[in-house]
Amino acid sequence: MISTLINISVDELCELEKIEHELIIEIVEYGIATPIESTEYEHWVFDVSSVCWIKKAIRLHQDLEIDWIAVGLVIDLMQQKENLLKENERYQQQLTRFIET
Amino acid sequence: MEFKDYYVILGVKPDADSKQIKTAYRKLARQYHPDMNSEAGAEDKFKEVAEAYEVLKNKTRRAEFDELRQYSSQSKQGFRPPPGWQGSSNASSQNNPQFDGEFSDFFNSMFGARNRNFNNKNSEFNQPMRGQDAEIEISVLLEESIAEHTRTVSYRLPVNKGGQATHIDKRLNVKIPKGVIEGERIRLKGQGSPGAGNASAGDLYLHIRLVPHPLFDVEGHNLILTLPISPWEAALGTKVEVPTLTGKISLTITPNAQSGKKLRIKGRGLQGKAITGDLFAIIKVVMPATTSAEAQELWQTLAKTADFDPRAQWSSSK
Repeated sequence: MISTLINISVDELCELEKIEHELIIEIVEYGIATPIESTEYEHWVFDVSSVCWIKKAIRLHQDLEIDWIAVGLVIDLMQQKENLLKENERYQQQLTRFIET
Repeated sequence: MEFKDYYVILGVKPDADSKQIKTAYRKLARQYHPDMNSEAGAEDKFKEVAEAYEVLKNKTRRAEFDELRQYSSQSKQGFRPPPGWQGSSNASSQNNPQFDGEFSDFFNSMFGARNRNFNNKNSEFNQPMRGQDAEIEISVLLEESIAEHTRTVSYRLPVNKGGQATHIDKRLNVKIPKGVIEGERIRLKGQGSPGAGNASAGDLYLHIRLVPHPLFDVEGHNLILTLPISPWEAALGTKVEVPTLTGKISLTITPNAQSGKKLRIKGRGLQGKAITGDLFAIIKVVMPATTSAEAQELWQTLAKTADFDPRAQWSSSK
């Protein structure tokens, strides 16, 4: 049986993504990801979904050669879009249940 | 081997300056980047564009490519490198994540080998490279999400064996924790693509997708149930049996219930790690499909005696 992980520490995240701790602080400051608990920086823990957004942000920064402020904005808009699409899908489904006989 | 004209791929002229090349790359990268464009084929197109930029942005590599391009124009059959082709390019792509094992055969043959030669002298190259992460979607039923359960997950990973792109099929038994929600991701350490040399394997990410339920909709940890009732149940109030994920419960409908009214049943939603959601029943007043003569008379009596204008707001807004 394979054990599953739902959280990741800031140290492990930096090691996996080969990034400096300062970058993670910057990423959090730009609102790209939020630690699960607002503890001291050394003890930050992220959920796995945040890790996926961080990876996405790093790819956008490197591949599109855009600065972190713009990356933060892009990620924010992407998250908003994702949430709106989900919300829309949910309302459509509820509406269908409501108007169907 | 197919010759790749990187100028054509970026849509620039062969005499384009570095600024024009960068502008063309940025425009195409923005258009085809897999994080911005989920359409089929976008990722392959982006890789092609990124590879072209990787070569053309570097002066030495670009000069080498120009030489190859010149040579290819003289070749009538499939492209073959000039005899004894040895470039001097020393531009490494190691720091570009999108290039990890993603180069075309053309790039690997023309530039990759030289990079390896170059990098062998470079201490950085001797560092083993961690395998790539992978992500797959996994469908979970709402009923399954309320308790930890075991799933068998099958997936395919791209691997590079001796320069040849191939794949391995994997099958794992995985414990899905209780309380997973739509869109959540779970990490399986070391279950991604194998690393190069002694390096560790990448991770596998499971992207949870909740299967649409015939009765319940999901809103975060809350469940939404559309509850059909008859007009007389709406008028007089009633008790109805309502399904939940863990069994039926009795719900009291108070008299004069309106269609669209939301009734909250605390703690009957999905259980998260920290919170437990609620179940919301939304009332939907449903007319019977057919009406008997007797019922028709009763409706007519009601119509004569009831003092109710559902469109009263219309007249007040004139």
